[in-house]
Amino acid sequence: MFQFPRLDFDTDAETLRSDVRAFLASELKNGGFVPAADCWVSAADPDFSRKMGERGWLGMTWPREYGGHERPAHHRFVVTEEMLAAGAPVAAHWIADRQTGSHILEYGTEEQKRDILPRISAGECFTAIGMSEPQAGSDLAAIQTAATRNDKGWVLSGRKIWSTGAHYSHFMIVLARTSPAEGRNRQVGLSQFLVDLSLPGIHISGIQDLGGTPHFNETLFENVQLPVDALLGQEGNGWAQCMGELALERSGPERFLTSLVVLEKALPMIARHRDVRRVSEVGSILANLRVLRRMSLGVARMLEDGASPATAAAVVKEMGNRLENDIVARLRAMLAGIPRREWPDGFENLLREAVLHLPSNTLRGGTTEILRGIIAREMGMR
Amino acid sequence: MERDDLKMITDGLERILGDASLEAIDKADGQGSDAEALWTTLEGNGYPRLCASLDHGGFDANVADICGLATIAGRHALALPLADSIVAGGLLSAGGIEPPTGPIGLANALDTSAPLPHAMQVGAYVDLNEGRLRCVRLAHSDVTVLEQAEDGAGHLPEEHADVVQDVAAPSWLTPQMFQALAAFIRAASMAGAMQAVLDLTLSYTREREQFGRPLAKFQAIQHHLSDIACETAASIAAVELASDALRSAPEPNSGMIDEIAIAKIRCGQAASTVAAAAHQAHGAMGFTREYALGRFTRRLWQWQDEFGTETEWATLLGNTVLSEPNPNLWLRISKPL
Repeated sequence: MFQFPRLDFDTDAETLRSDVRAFLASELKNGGFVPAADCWVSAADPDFSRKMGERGWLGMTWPREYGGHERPAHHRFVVTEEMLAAGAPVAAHWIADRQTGSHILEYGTEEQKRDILPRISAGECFTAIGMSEPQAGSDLAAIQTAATRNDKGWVLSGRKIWSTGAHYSHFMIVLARTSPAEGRNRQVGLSQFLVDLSLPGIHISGIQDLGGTPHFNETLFENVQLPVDALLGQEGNGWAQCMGELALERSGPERFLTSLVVLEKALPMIARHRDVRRVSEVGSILANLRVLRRMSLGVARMLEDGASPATAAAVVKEMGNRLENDIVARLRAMLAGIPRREWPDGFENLLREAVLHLPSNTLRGGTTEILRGIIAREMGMR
Repeated sequence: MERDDLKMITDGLERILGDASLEAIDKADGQGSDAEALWTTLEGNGYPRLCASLDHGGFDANVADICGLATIAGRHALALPLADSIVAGGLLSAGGIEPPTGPIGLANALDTSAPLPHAMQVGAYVDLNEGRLRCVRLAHSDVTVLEQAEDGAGHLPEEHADVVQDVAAPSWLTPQMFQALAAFIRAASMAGAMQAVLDLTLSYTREREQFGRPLAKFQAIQHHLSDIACETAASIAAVELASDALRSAPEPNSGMIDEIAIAKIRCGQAASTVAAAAHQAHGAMGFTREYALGRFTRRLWQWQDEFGTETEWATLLGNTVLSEPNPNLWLRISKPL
């Protein structure tokens, strides 16, 4: 768990990086977006997603026959990290591109792959995660949503919560119980379903987050009739499939870059007011980010090699989440003594947005405590 | 160096240190027959001259090649200045000076009033004085030993200069570069010591029982261990990053200094977190001189200070960022190696 292999970017990757930077610069210039903190969750813009799809920057690693571009995983890493560093509005497609698409590619039927994947890579199809429930948060195996077989397929009933973007999404992968737990082993009997959110019996209601943005949702499934092929992967294999999904979900650059855009905006002002304290804070933050990115690239390399580095991903997310919160705290300390009139345009809002998103960094996608438990288990302590 | 050669020298050091007695490894002043015998073995196997040129009986190794050795030395809490001697020998050799035999020290290149690490263990040290690379002889009677410091570190008299030989330093060898190379091996040694602290803390908390169960079963303890593991992993990654930078060009350049600064900052920060968490998990046992934990944490605290603290390096790095006309972090975070 301590070795994070080196990932070498090929020359195409650096060309790609220049293309992405040029695109972002021109979008910024013509008012295509306003940089946002925590942009992969809070800034959804279907137009922007479509533009990325047109440029071949979604579904980058998937086979061409399903609308993909057959590029190595680190090319996708380049695109995502550049988008995050710029605070671009990437929330609409983020989950579909990061995990749902890859999951459909691995477990979906031929028809699902042909139908859905090209739309995701065009930036026209968005998806949400259906794991947590009102009574099952960190204790995910306690979910009560259930699917039962009938002659037309499956009937799904239950309630999912904290699903980011469900209100604009077309599909949700829902984890549901398909057979009872075996005694204390509750991880058996769970299955994943690919659910078309336009089906009758599905009610999505927005939940405002701390900052007042309705970015996540509660979704009610009332005896929703699902077709036979809605079952994703193997019946009863839902837990293992979910954990594979979480390895994709936990190790990416979105786990440490969300607050960089705020600091970057203040940097020229901090440079004008530089003293030992501010200068050393900037140096220290740079060191921490550079090293975490190296580790995150290491996980990308392991994924590229076909491994499922769940613990390494937990390490990156655990440290990354604490760092992105730390950056905001240190930035606030650096601002002390600089008159507000010198703050750049839009900075006050950006900082406030980052502050109001702080609590979610160390919660979503697995809390810090859960991640530490995973790391401890790897060391044989549990 | 080739991968096979590297493996051979790292395996060899692991074997030598694994076979050595605790007295030889941890003898703080590096004196006494056990420590001397260990040094003779290391010298007999060519370790101190790995970075010296072939003409000087060395292997022309890049400093990045020997960072694995510094890590192993750190994992064993080796008192002898092996890594310092290798780098010192490499610097002298690069200036055309044949390195003397015996342990050689490295002086702080940015603060001449800083104590000399390993002062009581070395017969000579290397410094950079107004563009001159010097090999300076050292009489132990001149050293004011720091009582609470590890491995014979001490102050030298202000006007100390028994210069054996001096030459114009190679153009790439600025004071910052000199300091960076020394800081790099400290970072690598810290990463090694942290691995040892992790192993020690894991086995202690598995064996020690309180409230009827092993400490390792308590969530609060598991979180300490998780912190130690994460910080150790980050330290290893930081050292690898700097190694890659050092290997990226035949001659050292200023871009490498930034990456080494990052390694020293990150390992220095990690050292504080790791030492605190490990001592907390060990309770009073870890606070004794006898128990092994202190051999590692005392060195971590010393190494984080030697050749620039994490704050000093962060100041240097931050100044580089903020002195640019358009200061930007992302271009540096994402810089290819």
